[in-house]
Amino acid sequence: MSLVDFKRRHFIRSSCGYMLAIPFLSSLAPKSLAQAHQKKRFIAVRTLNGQVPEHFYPQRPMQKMGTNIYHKSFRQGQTLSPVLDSGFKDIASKLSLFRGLDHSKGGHNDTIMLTAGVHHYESNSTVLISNTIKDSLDELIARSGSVYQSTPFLRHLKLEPSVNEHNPYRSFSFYKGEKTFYERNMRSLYQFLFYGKNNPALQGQLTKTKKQKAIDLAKDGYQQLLRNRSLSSLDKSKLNQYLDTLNDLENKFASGSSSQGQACREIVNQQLNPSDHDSINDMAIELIALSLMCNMTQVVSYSMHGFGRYPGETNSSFHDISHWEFSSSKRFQNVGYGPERKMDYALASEQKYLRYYKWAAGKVAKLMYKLDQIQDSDGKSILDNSLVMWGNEFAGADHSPYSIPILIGGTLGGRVKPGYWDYTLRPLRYYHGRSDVHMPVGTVPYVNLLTTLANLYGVDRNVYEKNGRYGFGEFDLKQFNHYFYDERRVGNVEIKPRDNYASFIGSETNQRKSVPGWL
Amino acid sequence: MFSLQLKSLLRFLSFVILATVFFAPLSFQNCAGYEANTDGLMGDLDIESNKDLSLQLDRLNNQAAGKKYTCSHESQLGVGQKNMRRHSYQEIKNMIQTLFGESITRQILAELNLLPKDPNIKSKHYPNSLDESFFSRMAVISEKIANIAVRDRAFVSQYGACNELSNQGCYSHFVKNFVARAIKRPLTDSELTIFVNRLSLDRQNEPEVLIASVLMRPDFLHLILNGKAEGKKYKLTPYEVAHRISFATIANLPDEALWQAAANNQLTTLTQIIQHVRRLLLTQAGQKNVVTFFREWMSLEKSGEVSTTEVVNANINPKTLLQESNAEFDQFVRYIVFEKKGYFSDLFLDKTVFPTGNQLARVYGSELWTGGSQLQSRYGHRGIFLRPVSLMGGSNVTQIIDRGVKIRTELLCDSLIFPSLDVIGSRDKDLTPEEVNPQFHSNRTIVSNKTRRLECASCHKWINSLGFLLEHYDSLGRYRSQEKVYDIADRLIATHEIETTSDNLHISDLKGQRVSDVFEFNEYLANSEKVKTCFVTQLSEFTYKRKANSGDSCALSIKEDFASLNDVPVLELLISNIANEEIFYRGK
Repeated sequence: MSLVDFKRRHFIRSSCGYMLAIPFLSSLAPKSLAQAHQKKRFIAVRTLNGQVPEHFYPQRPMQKMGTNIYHKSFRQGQTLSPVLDSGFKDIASKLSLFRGLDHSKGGHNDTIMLTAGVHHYESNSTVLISNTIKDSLDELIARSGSVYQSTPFLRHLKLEPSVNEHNPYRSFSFYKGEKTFYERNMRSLYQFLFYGKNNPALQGQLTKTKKQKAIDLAKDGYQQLLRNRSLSSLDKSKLNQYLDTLNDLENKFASGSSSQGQACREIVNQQLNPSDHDSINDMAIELIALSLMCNMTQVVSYSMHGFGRYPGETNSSFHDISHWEFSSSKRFQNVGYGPERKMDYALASEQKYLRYYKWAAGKVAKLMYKLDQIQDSDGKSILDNSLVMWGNEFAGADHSPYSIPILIGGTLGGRVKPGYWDYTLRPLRYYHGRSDVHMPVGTVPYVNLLTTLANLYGVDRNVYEKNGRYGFGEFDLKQFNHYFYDERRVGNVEIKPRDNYASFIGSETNQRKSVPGWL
Repeated sequence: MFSLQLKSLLRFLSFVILATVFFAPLSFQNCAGYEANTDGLMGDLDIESNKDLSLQLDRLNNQAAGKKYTCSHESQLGVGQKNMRRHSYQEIKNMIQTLFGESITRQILAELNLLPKDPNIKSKHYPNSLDESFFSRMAVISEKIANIAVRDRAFVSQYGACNELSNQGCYSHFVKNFVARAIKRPLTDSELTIFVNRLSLDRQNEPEVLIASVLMRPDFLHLILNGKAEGKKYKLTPYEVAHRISFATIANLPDEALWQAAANNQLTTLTQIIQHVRRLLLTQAGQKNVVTFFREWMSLEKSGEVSTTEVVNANINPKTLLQESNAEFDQFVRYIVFEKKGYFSDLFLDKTVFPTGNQLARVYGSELWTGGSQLQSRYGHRGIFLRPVSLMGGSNVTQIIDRGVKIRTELLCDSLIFPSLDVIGSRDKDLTPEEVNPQFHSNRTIVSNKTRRLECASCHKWINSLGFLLEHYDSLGRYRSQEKVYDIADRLIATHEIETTSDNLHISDLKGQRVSDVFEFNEYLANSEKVKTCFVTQLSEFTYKRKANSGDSCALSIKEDFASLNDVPVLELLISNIANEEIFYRGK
């Protein structure tokens, strides 16, 4: 697949097999892009099934910054861990890695990462399960006046690339309690973003004035309907949302930003033929980079597909294998959940286990690296002026929600302090299950990270603080598992939420607190 | 036959059952290991994990077998209906094709493809809202269509009865006819004046602006049914009834006959409604919609891709097999509903198969079907449930739990609860590696071992036994007498005998009866009141693209009663699902 010319001209294949870029985009990007003011960008990347701690995390940081707060910086060129391997080394100094952020629930729902309130399979449902969380953070950031000063081409680009649109899993974000749509077909998305690129006959069907007039006339229909007294308040709310969207569209027509994709047309080449899970994700990464580079959007949600597929394979499910446990000899065996069970006793699965994690990490690295190669208006890279957040629905094996692994690339223009932030206890203790499989319990609620992000992107707290809850998201300590494995006592011990979260419970200040040290 | 069904329907329309409405879904408590690997099989999970286990199980055990819905008074008919829903992407594509015709549609295929496909989940779960991405795409599409349509003389003359829209009279005529069809009702005189006057200063551009704007209007993108207040509900206008009929039958705008019926106020009696519903269901679009319902009911969303040693050895291409099986499922539904005019029991018991490809013919052990004499499977395949595509699991081993969940939630319409975190965490704690090693145990035994803990078993007893019944069919839907286990080098290392017997399936109307195999169970499905009730519920939810609510209980009660008659063909059930008193109303 070759999506864009710049890739063919300027990308080289590295020795580790990733497609890496040399500096290229600043020279190719139109001047109008360079004149744009610095923008806040947020990119959320979600995978499923968590991580294995010993493969994901580097050695623990030793610099004590406060009670249960440890930190160390990453050096440029440093390989961090078996999963966070060489793909990240050139951007290592711009990474923030978190350990010890606890959520209270753990189900297979990739919305959890951005809601901290939905804890269930619910993509078949039409509304959020949580009574208190109605919006995912990405949707609120996309509507923040602090992010967009003018109407963009697209407030929020949402992708869940899939070779087969009929695959059942589908990601959603949520706004006002209703799910919002993710793009699955990357070819269709490309056509939408760069409509008419290779066929001038498709462009300029109506003049700007006519477009505005058409939208204006359409709005009459919405206003007329809103006057209907028999309409429910829910339907009226929806119609008002539509009117906002049409106003956005009208503004775009007026400003010409509806065709901002054309600014990058000279570097877009329509040769699209992604054929497998690997190449379809590569295409997604290209489209994300292009959309950000061309100022078409500043908020992206990228869900890296359902339960996971191995690179180049369409018939494997990483979910099943992720349920394996280690034996005491640290080899994978047992459990036998799902189709890969025949390998349980072959003791040869560790590499396969790692293969998916490394593959997914490689895609994240590729995206971050690409964004680091694009120069923003202030001379920094787009990565520098963004936060690219990679996480999961829970921490890892057996749906453990404790110490959710989060990696964030970029610093949002220097607003955060990168490095390894570790909030777990010293020495490590209290595991969800076993120390070789599960993450240890942390000391900082995961919701504090979402609150931090909401503040960084200027999301009005009145929008997300509901029903006497402070901060973003829901940290329901009633769901907290009381019995944890303690290596020092070689057995399960009871710990109560107050043991770790006394300062959080009932404290408005602490519930609105940012993650320690990061800002 | 028609008069018989009509009589039956009317009989039940007047049938009042005085009883308390019981609409609460069944619930189950914490089920360890219940986590299918797709949402497609999740069914309608009841998220009540904190409710007391004993209360829920009591509720379950005390529930009467069979019928579920009651109707306290027929004035309640239709109160569950909503007044606004967005159209699916497929419906929008269908509407554009109908409004603009084949020629224009062909020219805008690239733009139409900008609209994504509908999510591959049950249509009742589609996202409720349209977002900025949709509107941006729709703006591109409407702009392109408008530009082409105003230059298409056939299109202009269709709605304007003239060729030149620059002519005032012609333009007014065009506005009146085109906009009416697009927004699903005739324009009032004042609306017509507004539409015409709004753009009159710039006559040359009027038509294209008008067309582009109409395609962005809420009444084009949504099915909006206002009606007029009548007691505690609203009575729909003939045009609204016409659109409810057409979207329920052909997922599209009304055809000319239905539109004219609305215009002539000929959609006021059930006889008139039934006539149009029957006519539309028999069209190609109607049949396609019926097939789509059965595909949704059987949850055929899964990919069915597997890569087992046996697949390789037997030279089976799972993708080809999946394609052939999907097409054959559709053919079977058409055969039962429209050709054979079969009964509900035929949906499960009819043994006719239609393998048009070699892969599927091998699974059936039959010859290729070439359109001639009827064929049967050598391995017991039959009906919509015991068909390869319904049995496929997208996995190397049979997904016993997924299958059990599917039967419980989709065929029996019982609800299940997701296990709590504690229960999931405890799942494997007292298992030895030997107990879950397929070299020593069958898949059935391993699943039993993994769910034997009390907190798991309390729920899995509702799931596992149903999944065990299907163990004679592997994850490609092939019959097997033994389960084979291979090692990493694809060497056969163990075989296990298949055991499908269940002493208690925990289904209310089976009353603990022992079921020995899936064929016996399939007989139950074919004749069970509970399954018929589930069928009418699923059918109604598919038709109205939403979950049933308590306001639907009256209508569902009538449909349930009608379905309980054994001499009613499936086609008549499909007709009565739409053509009953509720079609005239919506709730508040």
